[in-house]
Amino acid sequence: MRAYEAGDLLTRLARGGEVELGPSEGATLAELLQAGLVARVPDVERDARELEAVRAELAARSASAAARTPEMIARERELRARALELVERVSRADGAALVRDTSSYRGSSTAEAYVVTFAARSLLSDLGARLVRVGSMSLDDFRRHMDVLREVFTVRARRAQGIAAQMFLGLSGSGISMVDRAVRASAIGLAARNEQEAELASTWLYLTREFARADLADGTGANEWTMEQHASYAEAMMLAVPTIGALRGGVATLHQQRLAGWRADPSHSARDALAASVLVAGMTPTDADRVLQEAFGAVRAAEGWGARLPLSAAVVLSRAGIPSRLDALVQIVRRLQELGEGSEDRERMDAATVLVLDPRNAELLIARVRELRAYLERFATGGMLVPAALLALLPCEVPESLDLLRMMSTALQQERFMAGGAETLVLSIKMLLTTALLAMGSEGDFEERAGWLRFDALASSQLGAAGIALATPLSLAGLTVFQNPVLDQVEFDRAYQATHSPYVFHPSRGYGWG
Amino acid sequence: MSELEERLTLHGRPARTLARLVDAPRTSLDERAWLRTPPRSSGEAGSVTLLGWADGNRGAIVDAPRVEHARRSWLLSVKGIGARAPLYGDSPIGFSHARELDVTSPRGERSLLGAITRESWMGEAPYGGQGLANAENALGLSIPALREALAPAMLCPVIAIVEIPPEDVLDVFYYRRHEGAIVQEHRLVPSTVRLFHQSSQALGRDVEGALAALGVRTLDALDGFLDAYLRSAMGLLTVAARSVRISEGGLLEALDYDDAWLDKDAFVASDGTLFFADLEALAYVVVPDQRALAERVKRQVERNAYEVLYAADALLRVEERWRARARDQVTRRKVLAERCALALGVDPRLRVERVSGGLDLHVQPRIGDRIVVRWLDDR
Repeated sequence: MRAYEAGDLLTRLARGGEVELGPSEGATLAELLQAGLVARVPDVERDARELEAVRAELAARSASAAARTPEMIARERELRARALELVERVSRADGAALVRDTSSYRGSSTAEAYVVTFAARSLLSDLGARLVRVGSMSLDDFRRHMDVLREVFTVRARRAQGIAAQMFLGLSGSGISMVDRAVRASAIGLAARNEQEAELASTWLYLTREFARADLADGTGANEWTMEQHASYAEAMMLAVPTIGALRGGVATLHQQRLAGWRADPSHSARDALAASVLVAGMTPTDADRVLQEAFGAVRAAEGWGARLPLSAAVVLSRAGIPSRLDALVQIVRRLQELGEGSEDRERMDAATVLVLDPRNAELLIARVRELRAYLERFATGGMLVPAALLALLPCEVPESLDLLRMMSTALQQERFMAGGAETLVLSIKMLLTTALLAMGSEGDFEERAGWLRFDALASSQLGAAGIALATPLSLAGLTVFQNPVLDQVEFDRAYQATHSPYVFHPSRGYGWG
Repeated sequence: MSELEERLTLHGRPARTLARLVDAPRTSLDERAWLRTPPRSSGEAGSVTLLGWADGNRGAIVDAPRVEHARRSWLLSVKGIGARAPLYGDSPIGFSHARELDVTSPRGERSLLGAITRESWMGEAPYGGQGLANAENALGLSIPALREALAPAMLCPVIAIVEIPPEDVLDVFYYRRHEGAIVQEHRLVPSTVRLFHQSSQALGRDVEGALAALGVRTLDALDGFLDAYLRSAMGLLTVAARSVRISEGGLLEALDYDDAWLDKDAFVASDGTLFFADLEALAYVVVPDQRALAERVKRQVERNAYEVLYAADALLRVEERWRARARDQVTRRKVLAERCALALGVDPRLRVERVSGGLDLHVQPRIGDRIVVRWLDDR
């Protein structure tokens, strides 16, 4: 049975009413029945009669003035449980489809009642977002496909939860204070690494402390940066290197020295300079120097085009080996501006840096970005252009990307990972994309089982073999760097504009802020 | 520590109690104003420091000790500890108040942790603190609250009104000046978990986290929790009918909470009972006649049904996850209808009636005729 055949029949059955089976659909129905996707309606008349009797007995017991003995209480509990069970059974028969099979040689003069099960409704939801791509796949293969994907998402969510738990443990009594959501954001990113959870947490804590001590912000001693920002760059650095063991010892000082030179140039903000420095953290000094020189060159070249390319974005382009696409980058920025996408140049530049990595038609990608951004901004007041650009890279159509995002959010929520709202959305995007990047590998990562999620477009051309080798660490670190301004925005909205946010408090609610 | 941490340090210092609820349990936290502002000097007489949980913008719940009263274990919630967010502008309160209000004195800077200003907010409260009229209204309703006179509609009683020492008030305002005493309410709440907004842990936002925090870990416990939740929530939806009385002027009047909503103004106890907390917003409103009373009762149900159903739906979904058996929405709705009927049991003021097309509430006010309100629909 093909996925589209199952989808078609289940959709008709789910609507209820009379369903006449077409040629060969009798066999499809039998398979659906066997797979537990449809069920014959049980004898509901008998259940309904019993339910009424149970309700009547409960009502009589409630009305009785007699003192309740333990036996009476036990009997009432039993009756309550039975009533709830019967309600479910009777309810399941509601909306049943009356199926008449005219497809077999025997035909059928009497209709039989069937209902679609919850599993079938869930399957229809999975299929709906993917039918064009997977319609010809066998139903069994498709279900396995989805099971694997859910399992991968669950495993990753659990790993992030485990890492976060270790981080919180390390933070308690460390004297370092930061908001919980910053810890969770780092845990999501570091879940991409294979080291033990405790080792990841302790290295992250060490680096965060080192960065804070070295005061990489501006060298003036003013505490321009928060602990949350230090933590985020610690995470990015850990994602950018092959082995995290080497990060212990003087790493912050190295960046401090590197940054000292750049600070003299006002065209690089402190945040941008550190982002760039972090992105080359995993390279040999020679390679890092080459990439940075290329990046400085790209920044200058962009100036010639009238565009201000942040150094960190230039490093991303340089590491991907495509500085020649600078003109395309500038075109994308201009197009986004024409379309009114993004509220500031930096946001458009970041989005363009992401999009230019993808060799597919830029107009097509921008159209996707716009659709995704419009959807994502239901959950936050702004700042969703870059996440939309990142999601646009996924190798599937927009409805499927959003369904994947929903699945990832569900996995994280089931692990009780986040408080909800925009934080869930942003971190789910991050986790979804890191999963997709890991799926590209061939190192035995669990995520490789979700191989069809690969960024095939990225893997195919511009990056080339060397680029692919670099892509995973590059992009994981890059994701963190790009996502931070969005999380900052989310935090800002939540914290400082809650009184005015219609998402949190409807304007008609007079006492909006307690 | 960040200005927006959910965990707060609260400094209690001796303060004048302006009013205290008769019969209220005494606690070691009495006779103090609880503020985020640190003491003026380390050895300030009578000053005590405790940890608390942020509760909304200007409130906190003291972490311990618990107060035992009427078979329940309560926490002390203080409303009016100073605002955490600025009233105007979009920067942290430290910048906002320090720069815009020119608060540069040492005392002013200390106060920025939780600013109590003289800005009039909503015409009834100093921003960051509480107004005396609001606090007195809440205290007035707290005797029936403490005695559970409206059960199963449950209320969090205000047990004291404490004056905030004048030296802890920033004598500044943005546009409109609040005149009158600046106080804080001390009230009893059953937990730190609200229904959806304003507490760091909320039943509607993180249902399983909230259940774990409340000690609900088994299907059996969840079953009882749902029962108590539905019984008390439906009690609050019908508080007008339960409180209707004849006023001194001979008119009918009933309690309503027009300016409050259950999602942000109610706490959930560990047994699932929902408690309405913001008594300042609970007030008797005149209903000229029986027809107006029926309209008021229907409006109260309709206006707050969503908040109640949101958490009920979340709890049902948790039950489904724990049983590893998901329901479709039709079945979930029918199960909820059955649960509502079972939860209400014998409530003289409220029963449900299964009718063609749904489930009706039959509300019997203290005075007047029965009122029928549609609760859930079948089709």
